[in-house]
Amino acid sequence: MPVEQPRGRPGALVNDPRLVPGPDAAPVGRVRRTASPARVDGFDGATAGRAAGPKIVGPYAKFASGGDFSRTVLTPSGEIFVAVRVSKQDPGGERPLVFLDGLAALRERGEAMADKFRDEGQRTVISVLLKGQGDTLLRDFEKTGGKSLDHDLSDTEQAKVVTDVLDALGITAPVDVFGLSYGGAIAAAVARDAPDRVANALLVAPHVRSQARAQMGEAAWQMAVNNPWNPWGLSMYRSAAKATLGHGFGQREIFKAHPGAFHEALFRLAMGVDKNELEDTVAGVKNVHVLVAEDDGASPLKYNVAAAEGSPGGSFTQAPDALKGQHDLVSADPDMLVRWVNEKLSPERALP
Amino acid sequence: MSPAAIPATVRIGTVSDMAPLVEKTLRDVAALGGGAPELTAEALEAARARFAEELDQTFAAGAAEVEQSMQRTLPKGVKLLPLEASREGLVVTSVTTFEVDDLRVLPILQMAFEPGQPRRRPFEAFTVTVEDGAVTIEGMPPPMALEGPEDELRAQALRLALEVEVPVLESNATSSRRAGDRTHLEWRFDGAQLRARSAADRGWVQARLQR
Repeated sequence: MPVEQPRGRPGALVNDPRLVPGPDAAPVGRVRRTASPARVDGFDGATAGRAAGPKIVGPYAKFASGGDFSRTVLTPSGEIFVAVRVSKQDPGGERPLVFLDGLAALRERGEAMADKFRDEGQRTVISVLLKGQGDTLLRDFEKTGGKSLDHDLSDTEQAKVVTDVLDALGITAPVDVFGLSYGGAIAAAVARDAPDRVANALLVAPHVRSQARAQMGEAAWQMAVNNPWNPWGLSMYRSAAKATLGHGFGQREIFKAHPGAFHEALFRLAMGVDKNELEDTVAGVKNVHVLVAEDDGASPLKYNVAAAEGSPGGSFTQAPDALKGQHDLVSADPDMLVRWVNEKLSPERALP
Repeated sequence: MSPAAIPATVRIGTVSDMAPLVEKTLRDVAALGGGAPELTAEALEAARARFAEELDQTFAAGAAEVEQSMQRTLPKGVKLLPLEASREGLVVTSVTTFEVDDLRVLPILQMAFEPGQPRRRPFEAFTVTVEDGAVTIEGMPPPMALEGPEDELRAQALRLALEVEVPVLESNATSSRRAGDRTHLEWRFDGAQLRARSAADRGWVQARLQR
C-alpha cells in the first residue's frame, strides 16, 4: 500500500487554546462551563434552537434541524455528553462526522474540534464524550456515584455508546467516525460492530495493541504476565498500569469533587482496550483510513500500516515530517487534520 | 485414593522483574497525555513507589479472590495451599503450592486465576507414565514464546519443586534433599536457560519414582 502524505502546509500553528493539552486549562472563549450539564434529554428537533430559515432536506434533515448544541443526551447507555455543530453548507445532506478524542477527553477540546471541522471543513460534527470521559463521567458520578467505573470499559461497550447516541439523535443513515488514540480504537470498533452505520472510519494515531507488551518485550511479558505458573501475572500488570497512568495527564479540575475518579477512569478505559489489536478489529471492515506520525511510540507505524492494509477501501497516511514523534495530533496540528479528513471524505474540498 | 496413587506436594514459582514494564509504560503514558515527554528521576521513583504500593494492596486484598477462583476450577484430588507472593523492590516472587492425591493428575490440572478468565494448564507439557514398578515424570515449563533480546529475561526465573514420600530412583533436579520422611526435588530455570532451550528439547524435568 502506498504511503500517502496529506496535502497542504504541514505544522500549522495551533491557534485555538482549547486544543492545547495540559492540566485542566481554564475554559476559553465562549465555551461555558457549568458544574452540571444544563439539560438532559433525548433529541427532539422541535425543542432545539435553530432559527427559522430555508427548509432543511436530506437524510439528516431531522437531526440537522436541531442546530448546534452541547448537552447531555439520554441513551440506553446512560447520559452521554454530546456537542453538535451543524454544517451551514448542506445541513440535511452532509454526512455527520462523529468525533472521539483520546483517553482524557474533555468537553472543551471536543467542542473546539467540532467548531473547526464545521467552520473550516464544512462538516457537521457530533463530538461524543464516551463513558469514563469528561462531562459524561461527571454526570455518572452525580447520578450513580460512578457506576460506569466498576468494570473495564470494553470497545464493544463504548461502540454501543456511539450508536446509542446516533439513535437518540434520530440518525439512521451512515456517518463518518473520527477517533484519536483511544478514540481511534473505539471508532474502529464502531465500524466493526455497526458497519451499516459507518461510511468511513478515520483513525488518527490509534491505539493499536498493548504497548506494555511491546515495551516490556514479548519474552518478559510471557514470563511475567501471561505465565500459567504465575496466578498474579495479570494483577501485576494491572497494578503497573494503575501506577503509571496518572503520569502525563495530571489532574482534572472538573473532577475535584470526586478524588481519584479521573485516574480510575483512565485505568478502566485503558484496560478495556488493552487486549485489542487494531489489525484484528478492522480486518475486512471497509474504508478505514489511518493517519499516524513517524516515531509515535504509542501508535507504531507498522501496526497501523497492517491495519489499513486489511481494510477494503482503506488507506494509510503518514503525517508530515514536522510532526515526527507526536502522538496527540489534535493538539499538534489540527489544521492538518481538517485537511486530511476532507481529502479522505470530500476531495473536492481539499485545499491545495 | 487408589492404593497405586502417589501423593505429592507440587510447588511452582516465578520470579519477575517488573521494573522495565513500569518504566516503559510510564514513558508511553507521557506521550499519550500529550505532555511531559521527559521523565524525571523523581517521576520514575514516584511511579515505582506507586506500583509497589498497588502491588502490596493487590497481594493483600486479592489473594482470597484468586484462591477461590482457582479452587473452584481445580480437578478433584487437588488441594490449593495459600498463595504466596513477595516483593523486593520491583522484583516479584510468586509461589503456588498444590497437594495432589496422585501425581498422575498433573497433566490435566487446570484452573482459572480470575473469574471469567480462560483456564490455564500449568503442567500441560508434562507426562506421567507408570511401568515396571516405577512412575516417570517428564515435562517442561509451559510453552511460551521467549524470542527477543536476551537481557529482557535476565531477571526472570521459574522454579518447580516436588515432594514425595516414595523413593526417588533418579532425577535431573537442580537440587535434592531429604525433608523428614519425604524427598524434596527442585528444578530452577533462569531466563537465559529458558530462552536457550526449545520446546523440542527433552529432559527439562525428569524424575523416576518407585511405585
